[in-house]
Amino acid sequence: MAAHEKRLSKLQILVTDSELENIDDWRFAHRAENRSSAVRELIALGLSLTEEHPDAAEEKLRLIRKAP
Amino acid sequence: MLNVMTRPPLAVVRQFSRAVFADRLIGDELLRLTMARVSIDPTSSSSSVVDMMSAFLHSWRMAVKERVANPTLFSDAALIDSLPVPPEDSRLLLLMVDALGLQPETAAQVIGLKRDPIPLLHATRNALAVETSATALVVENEPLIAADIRGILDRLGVNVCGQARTAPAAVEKAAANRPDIILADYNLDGNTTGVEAMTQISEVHDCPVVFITGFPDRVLHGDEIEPDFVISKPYTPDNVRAAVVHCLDVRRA
Repeated sequence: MAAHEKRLSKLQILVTDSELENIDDWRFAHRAENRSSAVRELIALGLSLTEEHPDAAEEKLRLIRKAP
Repeated sequence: MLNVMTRPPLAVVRQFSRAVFADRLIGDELLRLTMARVSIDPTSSSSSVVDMMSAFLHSWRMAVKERVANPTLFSDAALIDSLPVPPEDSRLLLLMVDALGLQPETAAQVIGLKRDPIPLLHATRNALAVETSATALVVENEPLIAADIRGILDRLGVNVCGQARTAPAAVEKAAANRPDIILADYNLDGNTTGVEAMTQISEVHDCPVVFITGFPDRVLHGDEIEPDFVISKPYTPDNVRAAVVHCLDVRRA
């Protein structure tokens, strides 16, 4: 069994009010326990999709970065 | 105060961006968003402090002016859309002179101020006031400096609700007294325990932290654990007053 992680970190990010609303909508739609777990699940989704569909993920990222 | 013109320009702009919001996260994001819009290379040593500060402020003003309607969520455009406009000229002048240490004429040049900056600076300094209920914690291991800072706060009308000489005492007093602002020496006992104390404090109590340090560039790397607001030693009462009043104003807004 892997050794336990030594410590936890609080990750702070900046979001707008409508983005937070968006995260909360996703949270309720997918019955996430709380906001932190919703964000963790979204990150896990993003990371696994990047791994499984790298080209599609790359294209999506490009669109987000240049989005108006 | 350390000669700001000889410091790394990017650290100076980072210090300013954080100071405006009294918040390192918002300040660093603003810096990233604005610098992405200009052709200047922030890591280039050939750009001067004035060039970088001017580019930053110009880019911020333009970004706010060129906002798009309904930006894509989670895009940089969405962050820019939510950015506040820069503070008014008198406050920019105060922050540049008293928090960064720019000469008033240099600050006026960066801001694009048409009038004589000196009377405006004096008027702005004289108008500085705090709410009567504001409280502060002073974290400083040098008794004379602690007494000096305390005196400046007293005269400003800020109630010093606690004083600490060590990191553990600072954490305990911040949790117990919940101050509106913390003024802290960066080097407690000759090492960086001041920063460690503030990291621990941020877990139990959210308030702006003003770091007073002889080595501002050592605490402005852009890494994770860093101060919201930095003033460099040796400081003047004007430096402390500008920092305290601005932080309290921003957090109250």
